[in-house]
Amino acid sequence: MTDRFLGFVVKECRHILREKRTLAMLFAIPLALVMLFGYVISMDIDHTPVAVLDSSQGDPLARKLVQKLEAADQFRIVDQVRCEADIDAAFRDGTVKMVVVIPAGFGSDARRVEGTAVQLVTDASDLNIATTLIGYATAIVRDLNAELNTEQGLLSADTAPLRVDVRMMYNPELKSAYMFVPGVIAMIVMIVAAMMTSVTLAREKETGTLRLLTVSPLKGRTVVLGKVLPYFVLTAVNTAVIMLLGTLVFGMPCHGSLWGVMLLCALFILAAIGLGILISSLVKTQQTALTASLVGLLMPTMLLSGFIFPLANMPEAMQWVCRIVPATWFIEGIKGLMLKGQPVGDLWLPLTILGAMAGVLIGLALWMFARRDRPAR
Amino acid sequence: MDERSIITEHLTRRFGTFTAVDDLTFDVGRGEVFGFLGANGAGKTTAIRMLCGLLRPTSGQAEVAGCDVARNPEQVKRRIGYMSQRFSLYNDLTVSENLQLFGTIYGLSRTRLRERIREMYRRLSMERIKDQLVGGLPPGWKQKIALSAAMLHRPQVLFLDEPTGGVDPLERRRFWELILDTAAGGTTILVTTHYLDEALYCNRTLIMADGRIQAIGQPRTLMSEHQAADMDDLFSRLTRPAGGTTGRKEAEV
Repeated sequence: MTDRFLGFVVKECRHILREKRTLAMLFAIPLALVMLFGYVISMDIDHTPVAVLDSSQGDPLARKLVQKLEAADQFRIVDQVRCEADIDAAFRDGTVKMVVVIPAGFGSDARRVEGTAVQLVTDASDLNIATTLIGYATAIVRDLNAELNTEQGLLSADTAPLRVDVRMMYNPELKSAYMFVPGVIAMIVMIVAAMMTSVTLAREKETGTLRLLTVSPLKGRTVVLGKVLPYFVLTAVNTAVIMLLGTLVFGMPCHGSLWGVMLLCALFILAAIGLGILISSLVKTQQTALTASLVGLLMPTMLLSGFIFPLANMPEAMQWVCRIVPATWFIEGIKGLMLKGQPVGDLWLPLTILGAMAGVLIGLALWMFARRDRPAR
Repeated sequence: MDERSIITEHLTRRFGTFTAVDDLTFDVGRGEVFGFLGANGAGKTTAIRMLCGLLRPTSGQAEVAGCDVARNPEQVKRRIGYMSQRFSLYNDLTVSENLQLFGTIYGLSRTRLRERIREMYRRLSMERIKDQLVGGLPPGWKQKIALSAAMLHRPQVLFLDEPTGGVDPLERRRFWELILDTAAGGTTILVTTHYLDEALYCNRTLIMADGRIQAIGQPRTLMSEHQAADMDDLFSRLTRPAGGTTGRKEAEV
């Protein structure tokens, strides 16, 4: 049994490795896609225009804050915003990326117990820049806090007289530019796991080698699992490459559990392979398998998963259709884990649904191949 | 030990109201080359699928290599070999990779498999092509390799399902020599073919039409019994008793 299984897996690997061009494409396509999407994200923060709306009327502490901001390489203080009403216009022009709002009575309030807050207003339509700017500005405010504490003879750094109050504009959902990473992974998983599995199985049907396998003592489940394993590994490697590229080269964060991310990917890949086997059982030729995978799997993965069009903007009925697309749950899960840093427990719904899809689809494939008593053509 | 390798009794298979195989009773002795003739749709494929343990009989019984095909299909599968021109090898694998795969699938140990493959190379003198992709080889070679793959586990019964399709006459002749050679070694062979002249290589033939046995016996005896000039003539008479004209290409329709 194990020898047979291994023999079958070796054969599948040989098929995969023999098709050098296909294999090269499987890795070249995601690389190209990630590069393409990745370079659209602006990364460098260098003398970014920042305006200060100072309502404190020449408070020395406020001036100190502005000086510190000016001293930082990341910021260039511009003079575009004189009142609250100017903020919107400045953002729309693109002349300003962040506005630092200093409230009235800044200096005196900072020395009271309750403290005061610096408001950081950002243009979150480019979420990447916005969060980076907030990061730098917060660090500067923290510096100032430390100085204030020493000045007042407080040793504890825990007391923070100055708080930071962040306001993101124009992107209430905080849709991240990094959304392309889970999107690209979802597409690649569909191409490698689902489409390739369905095409190779359809090829065995078309050329008749499947008949040789059914006549042999090889069990149906050995054939199914012997297909699942190599394609699972191939897809997992591909997914890891995209992930590494996204995180190392384009700075995609991973705030949540790495194990959670791996589990989510594994379940999604299994569900995709299950879909591939299902498609191959319904078609007779490689060509139909290819077409069915493109139309039935790849298109929904791109269009109905929230990758390109946000689900919230779709009509109610369409949203229900989206919910049966595995990629929808995968993207939701990855977004929650990596970008929002939600704990794994919060994502039980996408995890359960993907797990159920994988279980049902692989189970169905095993059942179909175990069924022996079929009428001859 | 029973000297019969295939025994069927009233073997029948229906698909809905259509009876594909109707009351088949025959047996094949050990080491016999048994021809299975019939036009497309005569029920040959269904019968073979039942004998290979792929399809459950609706009624009747069949025993292949000592195992009941309905009760013990897994044992049947281990003891038989199957080869067909249509359902061939993996074209994107080399000769030796194909042989290794099928040897492993049939449960041969690594050392024994290596031994048998080496012996096979020697016998068919194909050492020099062992690392070539099967897809690039001429049909005659593919056929020999497919037969070798089906023989690696030394099956008691070998099913050859239209093994010579698309191969030129000389190659067919050589292939038949190989088949007869194999049978002489004690392997029982059940072969279906579209080329009626090939039936003359068989010890006995069974001619099927509409799911039933029309005739069974030694080809030459059958021909003289029915006063047929050759196998084509015999075939036409048996499968189309009403039609007076004899179409030479009848079997290949």
